[in-house]
Amino acid sequence: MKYPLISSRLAARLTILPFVVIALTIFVGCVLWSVQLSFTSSKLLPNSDFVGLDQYIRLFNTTRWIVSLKNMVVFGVLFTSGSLVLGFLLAVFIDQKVRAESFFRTVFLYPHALSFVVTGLAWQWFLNPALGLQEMVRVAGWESFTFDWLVNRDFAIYTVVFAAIWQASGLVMALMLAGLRGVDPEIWKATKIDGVPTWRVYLHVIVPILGPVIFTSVILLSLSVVKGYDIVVAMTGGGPGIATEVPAKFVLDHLLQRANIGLAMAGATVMLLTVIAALAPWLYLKHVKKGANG
Amino acid sequence: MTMTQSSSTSSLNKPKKIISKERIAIYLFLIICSLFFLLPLYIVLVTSLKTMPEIRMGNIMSWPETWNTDAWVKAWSTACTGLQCEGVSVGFWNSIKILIPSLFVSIMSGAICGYVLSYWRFKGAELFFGIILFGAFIPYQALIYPMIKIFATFGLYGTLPGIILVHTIFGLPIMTLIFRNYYSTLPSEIFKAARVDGAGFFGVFFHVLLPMSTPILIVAVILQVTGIWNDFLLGLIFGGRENMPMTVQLNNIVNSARGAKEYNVNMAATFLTALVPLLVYFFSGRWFVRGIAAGAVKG
Amino acid sequence: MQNNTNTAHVSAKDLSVSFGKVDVLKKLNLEINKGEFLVLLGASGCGKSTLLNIFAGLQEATDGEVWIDDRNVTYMEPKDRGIAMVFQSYALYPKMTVRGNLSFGLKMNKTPKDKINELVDYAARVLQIENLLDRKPGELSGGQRQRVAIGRALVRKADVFLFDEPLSNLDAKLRSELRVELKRLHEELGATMIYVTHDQVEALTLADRIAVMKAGVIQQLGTPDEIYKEPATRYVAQFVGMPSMNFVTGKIINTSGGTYFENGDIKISIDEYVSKQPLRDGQTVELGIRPEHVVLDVEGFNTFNVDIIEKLGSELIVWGKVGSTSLTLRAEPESSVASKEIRKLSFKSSGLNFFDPETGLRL
Repeated sequence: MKYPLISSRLAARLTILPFVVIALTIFVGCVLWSVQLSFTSSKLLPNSDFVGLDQYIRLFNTTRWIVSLKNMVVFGVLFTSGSLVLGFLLAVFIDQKVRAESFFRTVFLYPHALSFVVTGLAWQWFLNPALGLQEMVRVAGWESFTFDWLVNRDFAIYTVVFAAIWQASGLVMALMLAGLRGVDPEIWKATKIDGVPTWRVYLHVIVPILGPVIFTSVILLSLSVVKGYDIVVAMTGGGPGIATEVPAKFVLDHLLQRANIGLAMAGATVMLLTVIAALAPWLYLKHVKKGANG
Repeated sequence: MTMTQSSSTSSLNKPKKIISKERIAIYLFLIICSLFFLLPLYIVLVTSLKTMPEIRMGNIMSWPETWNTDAWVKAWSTACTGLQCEGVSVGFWNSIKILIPSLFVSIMSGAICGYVLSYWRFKGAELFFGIILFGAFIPYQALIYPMIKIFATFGLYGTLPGIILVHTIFGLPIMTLIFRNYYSTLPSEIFKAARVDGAGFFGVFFHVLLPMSTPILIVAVILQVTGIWNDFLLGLIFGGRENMPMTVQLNNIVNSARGAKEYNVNMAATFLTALVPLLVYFFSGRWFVRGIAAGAVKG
Repeated sequence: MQNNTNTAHVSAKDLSVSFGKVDVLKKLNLEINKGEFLVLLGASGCGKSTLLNIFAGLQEATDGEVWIDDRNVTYMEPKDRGIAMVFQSYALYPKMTVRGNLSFGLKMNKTPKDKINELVDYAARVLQIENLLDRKPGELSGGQRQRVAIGRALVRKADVFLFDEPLSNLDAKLRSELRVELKRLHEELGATMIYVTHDQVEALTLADRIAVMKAGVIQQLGTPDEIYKEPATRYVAQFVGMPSMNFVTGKIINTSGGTYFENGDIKISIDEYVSKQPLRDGQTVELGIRPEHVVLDVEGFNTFNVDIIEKLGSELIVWGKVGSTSLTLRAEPESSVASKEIRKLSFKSSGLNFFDPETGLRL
């Protein structure tokens, strides 16, 4: 820099410096360190014994990891599409000039303010076969009624999906509603004059207009899929058995309890790649758009 | 942010007295959905007010025969997590202890970064902002182990300053983003005027910009209060035994307690944990939605 | 209380600014005299605001220096340069009262309280905003806001006042009112004023000297009269003046009977034109002539097909053609010209300008 800094510019740089250092150390340095550890044989303590892709090979031969990945996919697909559909419907129905609109909005969105732990525990209690929904129906007279998904290996993951949708669809609703309110009212007038049925307008006109909002929602939802940890820990603890394990929990368990750093970091690296893959289309679009705008 | 302002947008105004089938279906759908959304909260609440024998009778939905607040008292002050029996009150105070400084430090950090990025461009600013944004998307799992090591080196691991720093770091992306976006909407000439008037780097920020930042400060407070209060993972790992936040304590009470489960106590503890964000939510109203919109920008 | 000695000489020495490959200013030199009202005139993107921001210390130059009197201020904070600045969007602090806005700079300088009050009251009196002192900017009209913004500059007792398009956001009537007021203010204060605008009327009415800028270069520096009458480049010629100067491309013809400009439609004797360098026979040139120098004249040699007439009250603007050459001319409001008429016209030789079609420079 051949031009000397005037004093307040210097103050600005000195102030931002610690944040630059933090960003570089944490968001770059730590990530690289994690990736590096995934190529070592680190167990309880980190070492620099390079073992190539051994940890990854081991990872993908670990049943628990494979189950975790499968769960993430099942959870991801169902949770994202479920929250999108429910959130969209809620927004559309609220947008029909209903009375008590703000009441409905408040009710649909409040779960979003809660901790995943709270959500998980509340649903865990409700779906508890011994004293929850199943027992209630049985006491009421239908004695053969069975709803034991929470403790059923094959279905437990769906209860987590259910609880997560409950928590997240309000967020989608809020985003979609803002999008709907931004739609040019003239479009509605035009379709009314053309005599297009309302549901068709929503499907063929409004949904495409809401494209960016839907896109944003999908990104937000898929990020919470990859990060999903709290709700599983609180609701099922990964069980029964390993039926509801997820990658986030796999990594932390191997890191904190099983003292297998190398394997955990291999898992973390796979998670990171998943996020990057999920973001890639967004980054691509943003880049292309920028390019188009000159 | 404009959820009620335009009531005339979606359907055309028609003076109608008769309630059509269509309207009935709309309200029916909304009411059923409302019940679905309210159900867990209702169940948590009524369970917490019942006695254990009443709970064992099996109707989870029934209204409590008498309002019994014993479970609340127990959940607050004597419920056990493993060996300790101090209730969620310890967690509550820990969470307050974490929340208040974290709130202040993380919002100030975000505001300063946003301010610098908006008005004091420096070499590499774009890259810095890119890294910060990337930080919003990195799964914690890919950061935590090295962070533990670094924090341990500086004696911060498992301490209050440590957990405050962690919340500041993980809050930095979203806070920086919303403040940067907000400041870039303000006319840059105000900044210039203040500079000519003799305000330096901090003078401009504290005397001129901060007083103009009320709306975004409210959004930031809402985002961070709910975010930090509801955190589980970071508190679990970085808080240490002394600073277990309420969410961690709650999970311990419910999921790792031995012996017969006291569901009423569990649900009282759950409700108590949910109370702070719920109050923030109900009192902040439209600002909460603004916060969501601001937070969603990062997507 | 008033003291008229606050004034300073400002100079830019070889100032360059570039963002990557884009040069905003190119080795710019400019001397501004003590007490002068200098206008930087140009279209948006010409670098005039950048230059002003560099004078203010709000932007860094890539190269070069700024001097105020005998001080090199290039590396100084804005507050240490003895400048005050007024902005297009007024840039008032929204959360402070008018009094707060006026006194903010003084507070930053740690001026004693009673001195602050004295200065604020003085500025309020000069600008007639005494009754607004306790209001917030949001409660003021555009004109009032700009008065406050000028007041904020006034209390600083600066040697140099910088104006960044201060009147652009105001409606036409207010603009002309404040223009007069600024002129008076300049005469009263005697301070150096540097004023950025894209509005040539502001430039011509306010300036002692105008610097016309284009693409980071000063095209011409001169009094309003010089700029208007002897534009140094084709760009200056077409930028200043409303309606714009007529331009006709043609050739120089040297005959024993004299020198002419000719383009097939018109032929003008240019013996009286004082050129910087001799015009060669057959040389292609661009003739520039202002609408007031094209006159309807029954004895004129050129046949003019009137197309449209704009009635502006104080004058008429007549659009039409000689052959295929389009021309605009100014006429008296009582003149009888009507559209679609055919008239004769002639050119006043005092209004001729010739430019090189390649370089745009005056010949």
